[in-house]
Amino acid sequence: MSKVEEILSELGYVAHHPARMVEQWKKETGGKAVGIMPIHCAEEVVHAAGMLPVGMWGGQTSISLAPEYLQSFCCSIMKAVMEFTMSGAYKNLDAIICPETCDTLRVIPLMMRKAIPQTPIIGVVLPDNRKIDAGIKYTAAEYRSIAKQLEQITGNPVKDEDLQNSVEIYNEHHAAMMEFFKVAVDHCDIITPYNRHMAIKSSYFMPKEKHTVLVKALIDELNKLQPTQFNGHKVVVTGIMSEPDELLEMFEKYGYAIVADDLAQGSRQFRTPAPADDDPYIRLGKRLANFEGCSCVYDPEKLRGKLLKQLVDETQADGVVVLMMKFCDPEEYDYPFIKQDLEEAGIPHLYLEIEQQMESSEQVQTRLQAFAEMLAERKN
Amino acid sequence: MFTMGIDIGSTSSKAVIMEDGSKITASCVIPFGTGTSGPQRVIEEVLQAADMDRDNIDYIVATGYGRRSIPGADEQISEITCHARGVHFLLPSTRTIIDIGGQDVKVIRVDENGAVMNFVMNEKCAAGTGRFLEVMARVLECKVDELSMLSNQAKQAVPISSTCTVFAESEVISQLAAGNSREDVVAGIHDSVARRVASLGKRVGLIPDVVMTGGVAQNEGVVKAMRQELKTEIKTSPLPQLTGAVGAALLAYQKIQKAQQANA
Repeated sequence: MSKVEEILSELGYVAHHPARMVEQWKKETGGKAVGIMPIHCAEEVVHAAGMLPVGMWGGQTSISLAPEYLQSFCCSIMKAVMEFTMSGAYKNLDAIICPETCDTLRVIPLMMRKAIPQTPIIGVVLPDNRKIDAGIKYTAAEYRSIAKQLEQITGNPVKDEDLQNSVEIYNEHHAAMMEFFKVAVDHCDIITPYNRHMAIKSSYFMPKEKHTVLVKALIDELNKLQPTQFNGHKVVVTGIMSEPDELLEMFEKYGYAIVADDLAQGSRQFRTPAPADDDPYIRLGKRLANFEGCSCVYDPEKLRGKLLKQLVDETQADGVVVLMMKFCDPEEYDYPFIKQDLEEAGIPHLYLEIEQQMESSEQVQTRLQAFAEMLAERKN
Repeated sequence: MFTMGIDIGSTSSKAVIMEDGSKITASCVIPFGTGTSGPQRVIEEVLQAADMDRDNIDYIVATGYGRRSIPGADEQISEITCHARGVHFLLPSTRTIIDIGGQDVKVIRVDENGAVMNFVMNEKCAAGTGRFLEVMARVLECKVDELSMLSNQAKQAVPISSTCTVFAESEVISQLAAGNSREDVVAGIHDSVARRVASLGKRVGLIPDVVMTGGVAQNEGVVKAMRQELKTEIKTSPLPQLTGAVGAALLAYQKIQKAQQANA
């Protein structure tokens, strides 16, 4: 097994075994773990409190308990989260942080408090007016409130210098991930859509400083290899996430490489560094202020389509695949603007409705195959 | 040189044999789709109609919902690409295709060469599909083929507001129970299909000529309702059920030509 394969295998293992990773971390450190619901929850605060932040992005499971709380028109991510909550899968989490990202997430903290009353649920409300001075201060206050609640769980204060250190660790990790995405474009044969996703997903289940080491090692190993010519279809994907695994296998089957992403679970987490400031909470507030192109934050300028065009230009991609998580209101609201921008730029795109629990893949396959044939015809 | 296009849908199997990518030698439609004896039978019967056996066919392209389960096919190509190519062959001025099959609705924009520019498909829902009409025909105690004739005799279409097939079925039963005529209810059902498909079509933009393909294109009542809903002229493919298979046979011929050019 080559060094690259070794690292990818490790990342894949981590991505597929979150519970074991939490258990292992607790055993090794004696620390506590905190679940983080999507998106913009400032994991750095949890890290600074000496706890393990654990991403809560649903997963593949059969849904039987969640309908007690969630209607059929809620997205499959939140259904999976509630299913895991109620089935005891999150029993090793000592607290859960939950932002009001969308209408469904708005009520999830209440449901969780009822379903697992023994676990503290920390709510976060992020501002629409995130760019003005008052908005930045408000965001900082919300993150400071998280720290205070975590202090009650650990019994230890979250010091500003610890948070400054955590912010630096996260900035370094995020920069490494963005560098990895760039390097991966020259190695589409190795960094397949699946492997690319494993690199992203694994970051949610291990300390970021350790993940950074693995990602940097992967970058070094890839840089030692000759760039390979990719003759398939290079695409940029946008949406919440690129799951389940079968979806990524279909991307590979029909000759796609993902050369850049604008996924809430992917690049949106990594592309905006926290700027310098004496107050670490203000740093995180400013990061949210500087952040662009996400359906989960208020964007009156609707920059997401332009950002996608930029990604297509930078990576010489053949098109964009919009991974529309079924029943995701924020993403659906963004789509008309994205569609218009892409059409005006002459960039072909595919609207692909997905669910974490895909009962039938036939329609997705047909769409991906037809889009691949369409892109091939454009090249001829 | 002979090529075969096989289009295995959810409710029917279609096959076409073409000579030199220009002439239809034989065609066959079997009203049974994937997972039935339909695929095997359609291949046997189209070969029989052409007085050929498999060895006479130079290349076979399979398309449609059951395209991956055809033994002996040289290649599988999506029905989107095949319909585009088939319609371009049959009606070259086509720029928008509305294909309503057994369980899929597709709206496809094509360029002057028959290449796909954009497409949308219905989601996992039977609304607006052939299956929707089959369910309604059962409630109305008639054959699907009779729906067109019935709607032609309608005095006033009864609005069917439910999009969901299951709810629409209940609504149709209620309308019949309320004393509305079958003819008026059928016209309402056709309007319902047209509304559903039109909303999909508006997402890709309907550039003339707009052509309907698929089994449902044989129902003049739906075509008429579509014209009214979209306020545009809609043509129908001269071979509505065979369009995908024709496209597959044409693409098979193109594959052979490319291979020959590469070897020359």
